[in-house]
Amino acid sequence: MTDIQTENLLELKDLCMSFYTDEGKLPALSNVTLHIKKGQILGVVGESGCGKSMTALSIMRLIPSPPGKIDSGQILFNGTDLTQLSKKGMQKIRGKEIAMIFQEPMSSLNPVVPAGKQIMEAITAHEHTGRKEAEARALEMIGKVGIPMPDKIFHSCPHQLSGGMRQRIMIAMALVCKPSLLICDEPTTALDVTIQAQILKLILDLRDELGTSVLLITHDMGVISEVAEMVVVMYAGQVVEYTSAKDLFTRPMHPYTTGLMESIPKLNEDVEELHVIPGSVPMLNALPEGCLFAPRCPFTKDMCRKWKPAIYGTENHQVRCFKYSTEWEKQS
Amino acid sequence: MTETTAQPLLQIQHLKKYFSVKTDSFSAAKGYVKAVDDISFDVQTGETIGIVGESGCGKSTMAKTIIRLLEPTSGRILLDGEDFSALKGDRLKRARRKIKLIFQDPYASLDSRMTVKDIIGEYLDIAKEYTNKKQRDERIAEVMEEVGLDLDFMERYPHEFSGGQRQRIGIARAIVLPPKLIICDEPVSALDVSIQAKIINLLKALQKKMNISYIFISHDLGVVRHISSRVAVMYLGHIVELSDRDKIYGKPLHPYTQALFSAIPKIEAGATARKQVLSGDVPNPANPPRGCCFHTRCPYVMDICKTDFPELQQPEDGHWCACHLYKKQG
Repeated sequence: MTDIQTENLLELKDLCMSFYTDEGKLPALSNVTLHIKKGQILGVVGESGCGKSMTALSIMRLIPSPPGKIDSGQILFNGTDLTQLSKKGMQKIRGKEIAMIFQEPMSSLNPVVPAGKQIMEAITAHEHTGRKEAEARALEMIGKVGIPMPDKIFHSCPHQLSGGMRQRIMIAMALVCKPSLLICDEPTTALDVTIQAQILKLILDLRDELGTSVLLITHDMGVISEVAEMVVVMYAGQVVEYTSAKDLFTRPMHPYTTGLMESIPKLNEDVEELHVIPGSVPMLNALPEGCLFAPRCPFTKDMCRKWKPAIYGTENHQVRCFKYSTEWEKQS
Repeated sequence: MTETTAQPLLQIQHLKKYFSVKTDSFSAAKGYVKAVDDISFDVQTGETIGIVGESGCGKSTMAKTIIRLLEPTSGRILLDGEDFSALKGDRLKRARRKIKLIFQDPYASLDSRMTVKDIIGEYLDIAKEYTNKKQRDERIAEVMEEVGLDLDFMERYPHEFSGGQRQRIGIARAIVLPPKLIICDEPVSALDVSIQAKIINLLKALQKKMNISYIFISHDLGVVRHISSRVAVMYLGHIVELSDRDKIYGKPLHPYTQALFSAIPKIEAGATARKQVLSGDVPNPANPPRGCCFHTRCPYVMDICKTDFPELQQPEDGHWCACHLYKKQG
């Protein structure tokens, strides 16, 4: 996107990832470029199948392979290219430097191991600490994520806890080694709104306290607008817009983003009929030749069907759409 | 609850659904989970009443009890003035034609071994509506067109469809015998926003055309506001607030409604998550707190809240709220 800046914690450069299946090559991510600065919260938003989770899994190098494979591009984390790391090298970073929390805490926690012990595991896997010290740190972390009576919860198994509590345990486990990057894949989707508000506040507070950068993946525009500072909008495996959260909601540029915004029922305005984006998301094995959004876009010109748009706009508001190129006016 | 001259389509009076809690199947019940506890409201013909609340507050149990997939513990359900809750056998079957249910998960609510045609036609077969196969198929085709399904899909199976299309099949099934009331239980929660918009538009268009009433259950306050004319807020089996959409969204009275509205992430520039966040979890419904069920999390809790259960009352005209804060003086 821009030249390497020292403060960029994570930088994805033209990352391409595909699944090789019997039906041929399915490009799950094409030329994904994004960066997160230290202490920043970057939101990634898009509909199901747009490649949000695949981006996260690629960064963690957790793509099941085969069939998945990173074809090209770089994932620079503190200057190291994660795509070049060995399995062992990656294990040192995973959980220690980059931690991840998932949508469904119950399926990512071991149901029969006490919560505290699972947090201790995260410590002992990465650091040479004694049992006593690990226990103390786990206990401290449980308190930090806002769980009442940490001593009691320490010895409870996940199935005895509520959804919100489980997600707090996941966050405690992710943050106990003080990672510099936290990836949250739909952290609140399975939770109720009042609990969601608690968890989002917790993530914000911990970011302030520990200075962790956060990559927040969600489909909920509301969550993005309240938590994220910068936002990436994805469509069919591509980044189509990158801007600040404020700009995204006041002046979205990409026709997909605008369409998406208009199709959400608002709390403060009345419309008789909701806006609808015509057509549906293209299948990965039948992507259109030109711009991926061209078949559904109200502004499509000939050039959109023929060529793939590059990234246009300013450094702080980038958009993958010919509308913002200098060529646009000249075309019919 | 609201006084109108016309007879409401559906009247729910003091509806209760308790589930007994047993340690094993031979012992007597140790207690009850009061999933739906003394709920009353009316639904007028052609209106949409939205039901909001968090998971476990009894929204879905209420839906199932109204349609009698679960037998109510007590209370009455009047459909077109007829006591639906007391019907049996053939008369129940006939009355059930008037109420349909649309489910949240379009993946789980369609039989994966039946073709789309048979899924939609099943109601017609059960009702013995058409003896002539051609007429039956024509009616199915008509309904499929109405909900925007391609007629080529008739012989296909549910797994071949996307979530939005499956939800359309569910809707087609619900309207094939024109109902008077459809209970929509989180019909768009599993869908992406752009598909959600299509389904909501479809539901609204069908309502206009066929004059159907909806009970629209959702946890998405934006969607509920868009589709409903009145809204009820549920908490632990009780309705805590019930009013016209604009009144409840403009000025929520109950502390729980206020907290719920403030917890919803707002789509506006400069919104922030740093706001009053409700602490704690929803209490265990098997062991609800005494007095007002919200008092454990309420920021305005008073002594009376811990002992006395607040009844629904009207602090403002047509705006019902169950909270001691609004108790009429004297």
